[in-house]
Amino acid sequence: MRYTEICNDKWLFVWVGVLLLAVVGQCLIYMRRAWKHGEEIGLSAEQLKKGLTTGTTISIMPTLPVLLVLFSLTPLLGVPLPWLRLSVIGSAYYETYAASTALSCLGETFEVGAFSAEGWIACLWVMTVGGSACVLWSALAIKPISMIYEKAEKIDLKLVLAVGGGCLAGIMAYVSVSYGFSAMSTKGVVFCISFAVGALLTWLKNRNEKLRWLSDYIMTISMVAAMAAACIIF
Amino acid sequence: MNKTSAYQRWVHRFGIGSSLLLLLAMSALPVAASSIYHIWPDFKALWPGFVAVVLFMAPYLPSETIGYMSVMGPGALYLSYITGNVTNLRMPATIGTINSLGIEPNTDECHTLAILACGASVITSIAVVLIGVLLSAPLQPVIQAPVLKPAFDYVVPALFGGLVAQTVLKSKKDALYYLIPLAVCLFFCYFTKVSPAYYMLIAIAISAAVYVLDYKRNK
Repeated sequence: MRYTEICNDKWLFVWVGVLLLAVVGQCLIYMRRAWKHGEEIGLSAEQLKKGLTTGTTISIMPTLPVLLVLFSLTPLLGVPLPWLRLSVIGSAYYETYAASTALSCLGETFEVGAFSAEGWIACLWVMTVGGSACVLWSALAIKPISMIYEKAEKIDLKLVLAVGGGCLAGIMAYVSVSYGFSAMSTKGVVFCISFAVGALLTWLKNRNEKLRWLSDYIMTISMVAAMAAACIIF
Repeated sequence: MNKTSAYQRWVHRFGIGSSLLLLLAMSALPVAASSIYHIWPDFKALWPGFVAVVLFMAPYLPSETIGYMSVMGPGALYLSYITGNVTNLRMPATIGTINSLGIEPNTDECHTLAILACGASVITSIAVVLIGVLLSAPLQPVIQAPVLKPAFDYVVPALFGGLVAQTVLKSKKDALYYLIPLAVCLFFCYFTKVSPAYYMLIAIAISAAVYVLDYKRNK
């Protein structure tokens, strides 16, 4: 049996569709409860809506490269498996690695039509079961780590806020290097252009009260400007 | 206070329960496929593959959970780990939201908004990928156009440049303190072979220590 005979079976589409609906359902339940809690702690409807709109607008552009991976994996693995993995848990970088690792264990290669149905089943196992380790991690580790923060809050809230500010600065430093300065001639250039546009807009916003509205668009404008610059430079 | 405690308990209970259920549904897919097609993999040959895949992501799990907890909070982290792309999608969505609203990190307000931002981000990602599946024929030439390739190749650095600028340029103090973990990361990146997952944690710890010292000095 060739893998191309099974990888696009209808039941796989149904399974993936139901799973994705469950994930969306989980999100909606979480969001509804968070909205209610937000109102209880004094957040305005406008602030809560801003959470939704920012989450949506920020995510559209960075999801587009995922489509590139989807289109490149579809001829290799069929539609349902890449669709599932790129929607849930998986990331663009990770899925090709997982599939090629699974096939190399069986002595097969990750090329169109070059592996068997056994190879496709092996990819399915490694990509779904192996790739779900992070869900098991989250179920086991998030609560204990969160409890440490909660206990510290009871002792000194301002200290915990200071730790939060420090963590945020540390995260920003890490992403600056990891997604920018680690390769100055390529991604570093794009990062610096985006940073410069962001810095200019932040400075303008801070200087002029009438430009406060800019704060909602700084990220989007600097991202689009840097992407356009990348098309010209590279 | 009681309402907040009850809410926090619910966040964990629902997060753990739904994560385990989705893990079960995800793991059941290969079992179902093997049963239907009567093809079971040779696990003796395949186990290194499982180990390699788990090891690939293992260093990032503790680093992200510890590092991002103060900003994202537990609810947004449960959501993020189910759908992936924690660093390049969910975390920027959260920080973008708190930046535009001027909310302090590590507060109940911040963690509540993080759930809304991450939830919206997850649904957007799922919708975009679904559109890609449904409209692959007309979309493929546009997305794969050579002229747009650099834009998509560098979308993540483009996203983070503006985000970092907006976050660290809030005040002179924030800008100055950002340079300390930045120097730490640059040192590890260029002068050592330490994995980014580890130096991220070191940079966050040093940065937190700087802010704590500053807080104690001004107390």
